[in-house]
Amino acid sequence: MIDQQPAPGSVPGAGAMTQRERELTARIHTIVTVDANTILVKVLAPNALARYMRRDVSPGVWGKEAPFDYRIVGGTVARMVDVAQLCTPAEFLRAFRLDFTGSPFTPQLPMLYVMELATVDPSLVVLPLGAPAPPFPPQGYPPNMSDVRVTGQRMIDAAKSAGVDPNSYRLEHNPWPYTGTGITADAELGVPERWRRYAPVPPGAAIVGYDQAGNKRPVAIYRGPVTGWEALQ
Amino acid sequence: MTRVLPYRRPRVGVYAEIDGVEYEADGYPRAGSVTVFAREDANPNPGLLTWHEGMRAWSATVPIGRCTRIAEVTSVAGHAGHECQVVGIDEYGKVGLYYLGTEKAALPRDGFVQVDAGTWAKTVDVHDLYEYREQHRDLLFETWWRAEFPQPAPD
Repeated sequence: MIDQQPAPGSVPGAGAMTQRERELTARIHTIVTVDANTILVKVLAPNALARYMRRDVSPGVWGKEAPFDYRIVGGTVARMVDVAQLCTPAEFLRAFRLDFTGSPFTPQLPMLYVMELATVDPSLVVLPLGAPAPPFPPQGYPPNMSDVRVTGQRMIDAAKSAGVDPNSYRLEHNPWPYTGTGITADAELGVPERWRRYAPVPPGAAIVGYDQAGNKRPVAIYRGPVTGWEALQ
Repeated sequence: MTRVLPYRRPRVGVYAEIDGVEYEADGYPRAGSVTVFAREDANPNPGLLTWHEGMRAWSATVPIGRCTRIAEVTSVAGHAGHECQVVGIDEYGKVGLYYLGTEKAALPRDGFVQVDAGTWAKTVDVHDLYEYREQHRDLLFETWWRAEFPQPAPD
């Protein structure tokens, strides 16, 4: 199963597929396209709403608080149309595999905040294809790094064979639960992912909240770098 | 001797040049126009800007054809061999970094921490940066090439 913890030394995700399966997976990305009007969603860290609202610009404190700028957004995003079935914090956590090491997310969060924003410029987002790699040791590379690199290149080859726009993806080696296929690692709720550069939030972007009962409510709207985020309700 | 620098680093935003003067914009161009603003107490260009009460700033919305340049500006630097976006620099010289590269598996050993989906961050000292630069993405490039090269080049 794609969402199971990989065995040590193995290459999960794209590494557990045949080349034919990689090509079939890559074909999805010829359909899942992003244009200027596509609405994207970004799951926000639990403390991000408060930081956006207070117009925080901070280098952060190592190990305690992340750097932040209320005028920008980036990282892993997905198309809103692809996450329409997600209603609760637990479902978002599964779909985006927010169970990474040291994650501030828990399924019990009373409210999960998500930013909804227009793409504006499709070149701001890339499709991360490649292979999952173990965290690098203090010196050198993981023992299976050659397998990781070969798998990553095969995923890129699959994208070429499938006819995915070559300007839309890049080769990445990231820690599991990254799969390298462009689909997040959940067998039921996995979604096509993109990575957005950390660029200005487009005015009109909104932050919405999802509660444990599956209710969605608007929380704030971005009016631009001068006015910042305006609370709704 | 203390030298007065024109703005505080790092810059982030959209900037437009009109009549040879650079203004910050309130976002990307939309529907063929861009809104610029200035925060000075006195109107720096009464022929262009008017007071916008909602923004509490001097502002103008102009067609993009009026702009000689529109660019998205971000600030990037290297740290420990990694290409990063500079997110904030405080008064003590602490710098926030977001990783921009493609080998996130290499980050834990170099002290970066994953803070949300796809975002790896670190706070470092400003002395630990190299090749700090502003990255200017030309937002008029597509308008320009569509006008200059409407047809694909012959094979």
